[in-house]
Amino acid sequence: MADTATSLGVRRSSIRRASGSRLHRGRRTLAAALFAPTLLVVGIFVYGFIAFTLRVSVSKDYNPLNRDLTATPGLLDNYAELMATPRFQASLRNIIIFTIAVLVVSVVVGMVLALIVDKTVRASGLFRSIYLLPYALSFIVTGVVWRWIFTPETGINLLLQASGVSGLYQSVTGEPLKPGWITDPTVAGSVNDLIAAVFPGAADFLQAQLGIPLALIPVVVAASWQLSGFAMAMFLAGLGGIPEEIKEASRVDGAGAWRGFWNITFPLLRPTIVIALVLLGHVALKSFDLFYAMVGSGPGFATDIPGIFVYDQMFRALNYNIGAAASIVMLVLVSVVVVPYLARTYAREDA
Amino acid sequence: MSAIVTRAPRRVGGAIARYVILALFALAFLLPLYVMVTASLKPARDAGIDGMWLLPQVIDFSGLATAWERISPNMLNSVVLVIPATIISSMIGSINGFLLSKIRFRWSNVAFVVILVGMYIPFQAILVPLVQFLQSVGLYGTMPGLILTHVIYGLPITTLIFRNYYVGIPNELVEAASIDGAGVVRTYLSIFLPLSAPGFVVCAIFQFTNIWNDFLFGLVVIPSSTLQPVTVALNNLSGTTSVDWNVVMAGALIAAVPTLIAYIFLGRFFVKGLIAGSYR
Amino acid sequence: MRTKNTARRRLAAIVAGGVSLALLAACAPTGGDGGDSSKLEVFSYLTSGSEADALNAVFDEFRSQYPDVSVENGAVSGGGGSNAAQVLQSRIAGNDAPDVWQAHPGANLATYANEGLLKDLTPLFEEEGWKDVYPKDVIDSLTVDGKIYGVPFGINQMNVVWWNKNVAAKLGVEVGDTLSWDDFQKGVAAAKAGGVDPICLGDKDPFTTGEIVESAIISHLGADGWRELTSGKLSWDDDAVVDALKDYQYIVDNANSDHTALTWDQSAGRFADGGCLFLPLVDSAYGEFLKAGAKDGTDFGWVYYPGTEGNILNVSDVWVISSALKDTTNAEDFVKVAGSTEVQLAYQKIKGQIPPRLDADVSSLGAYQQQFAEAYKSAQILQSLTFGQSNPPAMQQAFYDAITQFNASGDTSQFTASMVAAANG
Repeated sequence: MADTATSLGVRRSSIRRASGSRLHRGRRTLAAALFAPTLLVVGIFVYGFIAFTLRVSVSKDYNPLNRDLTATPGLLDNYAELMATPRFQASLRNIIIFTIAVLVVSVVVGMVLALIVDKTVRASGLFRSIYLLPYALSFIVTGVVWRWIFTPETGINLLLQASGVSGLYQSVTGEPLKPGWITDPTVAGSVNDLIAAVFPGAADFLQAQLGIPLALIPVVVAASWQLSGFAMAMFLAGLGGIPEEIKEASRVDGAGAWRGFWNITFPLLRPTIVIALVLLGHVALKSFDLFYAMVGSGPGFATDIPGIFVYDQMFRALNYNIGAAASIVMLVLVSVVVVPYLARTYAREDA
Repeated sequence: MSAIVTRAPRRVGGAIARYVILALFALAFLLPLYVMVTASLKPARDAGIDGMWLLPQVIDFSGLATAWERISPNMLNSVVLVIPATIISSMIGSINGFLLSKIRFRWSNVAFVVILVGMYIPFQAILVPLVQFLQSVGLYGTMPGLILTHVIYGLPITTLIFRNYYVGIPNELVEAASIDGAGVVRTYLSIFLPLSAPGFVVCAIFQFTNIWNDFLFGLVVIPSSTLQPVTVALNNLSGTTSVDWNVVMAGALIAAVPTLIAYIFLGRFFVKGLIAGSYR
Repeated sequence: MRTKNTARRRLAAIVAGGVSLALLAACAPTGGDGGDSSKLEVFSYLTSGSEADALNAVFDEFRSQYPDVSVENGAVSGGGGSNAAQVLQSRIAGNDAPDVWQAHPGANLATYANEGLLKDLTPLFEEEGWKDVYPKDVIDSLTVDGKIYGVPFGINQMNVVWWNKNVAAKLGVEVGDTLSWDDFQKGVAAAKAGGVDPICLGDKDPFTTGEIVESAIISHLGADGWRELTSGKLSWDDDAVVDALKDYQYIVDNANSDHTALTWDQSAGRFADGGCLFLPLVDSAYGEFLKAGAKDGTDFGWVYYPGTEGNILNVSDVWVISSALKDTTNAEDFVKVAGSTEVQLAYQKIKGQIPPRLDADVSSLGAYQQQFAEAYKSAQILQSLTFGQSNPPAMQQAFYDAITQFNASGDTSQFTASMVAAANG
């Protein structure tokens, strides 16, 4: 091991000097050529279709039955109509809160599980399989099960009663514990009044309450249940990439398990965290099946998300223009968050 | 020596604590599964939201039987779809990831971000151009057309997975290989591919699960019910005006079996310290 | 070194296996041919349980009459056919419309007919003498610009309130052949006093509340008022709409507290198990009651939604034929079979609706079905907005959205304002 390291060190310096040579340029051209087919197919299947969606989003009355691409009088008419829709505002609020919550919960749970499973000698395969199990099930059906569980009359509230949690809660607080879960239309911590006080103009535009819809919490639980196991698998692979010697060192250096993790293991897991955030963020942002099966739009659109909104607008209402505009808005919002994040990550890698 | 003596009890205590945590999580993870399994074993009229926590009074296999009869013909379609689509998209993703992280070319980071960001378009929005395009190249309604669709929409993600995975492997390996006269292809095949098992595990789990559970593309790209993947058949178990929950739950369990087998198979590649081992 | 080689060998084996499977898939027979004269594709959203069995009864009869034609059953499920809608729309865009598909009459059928996607069936109706076997309201709902485009095969009524006879007996509530709004409120009060949920509701999917709002509006406006409202002659901010919303609010307030989490079939199941006194729900519920073991006439009864007697707010199923089909012989043979009295009856024995034809002998059907069939002969048949029969889909969606908003806010003026905007837009 030590031998290789030194010899590699020597070689690296000689490479540095040779970089920019003809040989190197040839390799780069070959690499670009090998990558070109991917760019081509993604160019057609993703950007070609996005261009089409963009075109539909500025047309007046397109649907697949008439295929009429006549444009709206003003370029952004559909976008203006879309942004003023209370339902779309609510769905944007919901998807942002949902995605952040799911990312935090599944990355933390996934990492904790991976660290424990990785250390565990016996039955680690069994536990790994149990945690991955939910990920294998079709969201169309697990959404139904989670709806049952979070239905107040039949589901988890009965378990809370049977286990004595409800009784304990009542004896401490004096109030019965009967959360409405997915039936609760409350939007907690709304900041609309605050916004109205500071920006009176913005208040008229805001038609949805900016806060946390309580009915969204059960969906976060369901999604995290499904995704934490996969996050664990990613972290296990990440831990697998860390040489045993280093892991051993982080345990033995006497600085305590927590500091060992924080100073040694955690920095090495950083690429895995990036990938987990992007992958799980991708899944969460594009959620559809789970919401569709579990809650639909929810009471007062408390659980409406852009995926459901686009689906309803396009296929049910035949408002393809509005659905396309909503898709483009989603794409732009994601780019605004993801692109700077990735750019910073890669800049750091290059440095 | 003294260190070992003082540490021993803490290790045992730590191990017990670890198993307790693992067991508690396992219990929570299995709770919805309990509902599914018991519902699938109840007769149709008992399998529903009321009494969802109760064990079946009599074990009734009719739900499983009906579900099997309805979805098993489509299972093979899914296998024929998911295995090539997973492998092809993972392989290309691995090559792309290698090129982007280890060779680098002009604009490679930009090119990567571009292919990744486009993925965030809701797929509902692109169904119409997708069908029209596949129709125009003669692949609409065919299994190769569906495989192609899944491979292409999988590429950004598989590329991402491998790109980030290879970032963790020292650049010195490429440079050493290049000094030894190995070209891009040989460096990849002889050095990086053999190191890629954990990357392939994650990538394959992600792709296998996503493609197996995909409903939208299978539904829209293939109109013929005899060629459609199992998820479409599963979805059709709940009717428009009639639902038997025992059949639906049983169907979901049956449809998940191949994915679980794939996990168990892939789980064997979670060999600890595989990379560390192969450095030597 | 050993690990490395094994890993490489395993990967190589997997890759080889995958590639050969891909080749296998490429050689597999492909679908998607259009002009084959021995084939017929019938696209519906009848996928499961009794609806699928009923459809198969139609296919069986067709196969026995036309053994040379192979029928492909392209059924896609989804509440209100929504999954089916995205497949159908994408396929039409890709010039691959099914030969025959299921639609709702009225505005839904007109959406396709207006784009020239449907074959004109007027000659077929004349040839078969079908114009006289359906009520005039039904024929009107199949007609766009003077041409008939659909063959009915099932009809549901939506303005129905079911009542649980066992619960009523326990509470001392009596329900006659009709129910006034006052008596309905008395029943609700009695149930409350008796500690039973007065009303079962399951509006996880919004159509169940949509049909209650519609029924309430009809009870205040009558049949002509409903037609004026849905055709734009009457504004959605009419006082009658506001009154109807108040009635609707009353119903929701007296329903089971977990109603937003339940689907329609679950609310029907709870009703059948004695969980409440009333269930305002489309008569698809009938099949759910029988499934739950409840008996028609002894365990449950039905009345029209208070104040809507003499009207049938309907959601119906019709077959339409693609205009892109070159040779329509098979498709026409199929709708002829599906439109015959015998097959309509055989279908409804399983499905639990009634045959839309007036000349069908319904004496072999269940008690509820016979009562419905009797009412159907003389009632005003009204088109439902909830299922997109009275208005185009954009208005239908606006109606759903306005109700969802109203459920949270209870704000009637917000509801009427958004409906007025949708009607104008």
